[in-house]
Amino acid sequence: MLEFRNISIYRQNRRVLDDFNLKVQDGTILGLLGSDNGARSMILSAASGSQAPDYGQILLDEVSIYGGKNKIYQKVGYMPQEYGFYDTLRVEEYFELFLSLYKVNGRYRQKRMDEVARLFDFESYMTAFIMELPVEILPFLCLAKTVLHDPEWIFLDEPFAGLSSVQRYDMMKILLILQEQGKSMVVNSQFFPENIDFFTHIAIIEDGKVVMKNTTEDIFELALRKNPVRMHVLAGMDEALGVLKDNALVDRVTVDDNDVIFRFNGGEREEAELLTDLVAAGAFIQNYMRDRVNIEETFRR
Amino acid sequence: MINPFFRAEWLQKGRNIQLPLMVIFYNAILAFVIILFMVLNEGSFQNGYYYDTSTYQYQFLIISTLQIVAVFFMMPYSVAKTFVTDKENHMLEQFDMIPGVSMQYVTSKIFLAVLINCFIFISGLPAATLSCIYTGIGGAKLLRLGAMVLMFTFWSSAITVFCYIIYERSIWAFSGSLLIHGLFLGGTLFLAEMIRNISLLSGTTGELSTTVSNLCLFLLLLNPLSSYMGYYGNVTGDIGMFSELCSHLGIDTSQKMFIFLFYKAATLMCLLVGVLFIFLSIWYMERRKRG
Repeated sequence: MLEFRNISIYRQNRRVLDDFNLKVQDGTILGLLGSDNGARSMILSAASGSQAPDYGQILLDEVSIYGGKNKIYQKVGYMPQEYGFYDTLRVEEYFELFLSLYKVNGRYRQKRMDEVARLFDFESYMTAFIMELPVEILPFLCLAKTVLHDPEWIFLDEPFAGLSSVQRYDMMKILLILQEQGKSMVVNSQFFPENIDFFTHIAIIEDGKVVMKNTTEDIFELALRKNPVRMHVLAGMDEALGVLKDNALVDRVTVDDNDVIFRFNGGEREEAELLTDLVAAGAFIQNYMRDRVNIEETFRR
Repeated sequence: MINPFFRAEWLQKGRNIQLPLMVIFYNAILAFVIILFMVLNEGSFQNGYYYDTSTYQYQFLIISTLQIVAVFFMMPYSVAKTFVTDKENHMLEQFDMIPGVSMQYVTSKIFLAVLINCFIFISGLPAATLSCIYTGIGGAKLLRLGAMVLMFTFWSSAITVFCYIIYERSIWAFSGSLLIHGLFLGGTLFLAEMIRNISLLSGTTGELSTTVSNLCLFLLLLNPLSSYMGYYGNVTGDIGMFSELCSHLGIDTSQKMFIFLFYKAATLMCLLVGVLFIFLSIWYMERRKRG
């Protein structure tokens, strides 16, 4: 388990993380969402061991990441937001550099290189110079470097930024294979539609703190509930407003011409009952829909 | 086990056209100086003047000075290039999370610089050997020149690496590196001269006290160029200019072993300064992780 315990980080006299607490269970893919991108990146940098917190502790399986000469760094792989390569190295030489730094030696080194090359379909590129590789391969090369030493935890800072939807899909496919192999992930990402099925959990970070953390389904249900309903009434507006007024689960009702906008705080069943009541009361409803769910926006509000 | 950074740097350097070009230009300059001496002597001989063998004496001085000066000119550029690549490609962020990387990273840069200069010095051996033959200097002394070149490379690269680690922006790092080089090469002489003049102006005897002379001696020891002058005096026995500088600063050079001991002490000082900058670089890299 990865645990951030009362973490505060100040950089350039600015508070980036403020008494930050978060627990991430093994096997999860936690998506970090929210408007505070600096804080989200810092969470990953701190967890990777490259930015020590000013206060608090980061524990991986109850062992502090900054606890001196332990080998905890070998359990962690970090893909930074901005990355580059030594262009005049071959792919295999680049891999060897990182494997040497992580002290992966002997036969296991070659085995790992072969495994990763197979997973990323890099076999034909291994002897190629990095500068010769197609540009769209490079994010995958950085991810391959991140998982080379077979870490248990993978921290990914904006891995999908700048990728096409096909590339995002390919990267998620690889990450899901890695999850099946027992790896846990914390991903700082903008929200893409594909993420709904990818993240097992979501944490919303605002102003250096966790605003909300739950499973992806629960977060979406909550966000959906918080989002207003827009209903287009062709006739029977007074009857519709009467039903809405009588329903305890409805609040913040506003009327915009033939549109009625309101918030519904109930579940699916209650919502179906409300619709039935509206129709029974004589409201002639042409459209009933919720605004698009932007969960970052919803929780910031 | 070989330092992984060093291996990667060496592979990159070896695949770059810059290294062969450096070797070609370096040798071209040395060969030009040797040929110039030959042509001048031949010319004067043809014109009926006697064959002036004393001018050959200066060949080694010029060739060795060229090799030393080349280190001070090339090193900030050479080390800077590797750092610029790392910074542009955000490589440091990828290494920061691995404990113990700072030491490997810093030493690889310095070792690479030393190795490249070693390679360049070896490539220039034919020209340098020719100058030794004309000047009548033994091969062992030429190897000592090689050792001195490598020591200066170590000193200079340690300073440059330090600047590139503490400054985020390359322009400041490069300027800082040149400034520190300038402080050691010219600043120490300027400071020694200033201390001497202040001491003479404030004193009544018109002579420099032992403390002032010792302080000036210490400042000279910090200056790699005076260490080279010590080396040259020790190798050729010609300490004219250096002796004048020392007597100007009230340093007694009359003892037989002075120049030998000075050269050794200055070399040691150079190494210590280099080691100090390496430790500062490693310390700063580790500290940076803590914001």
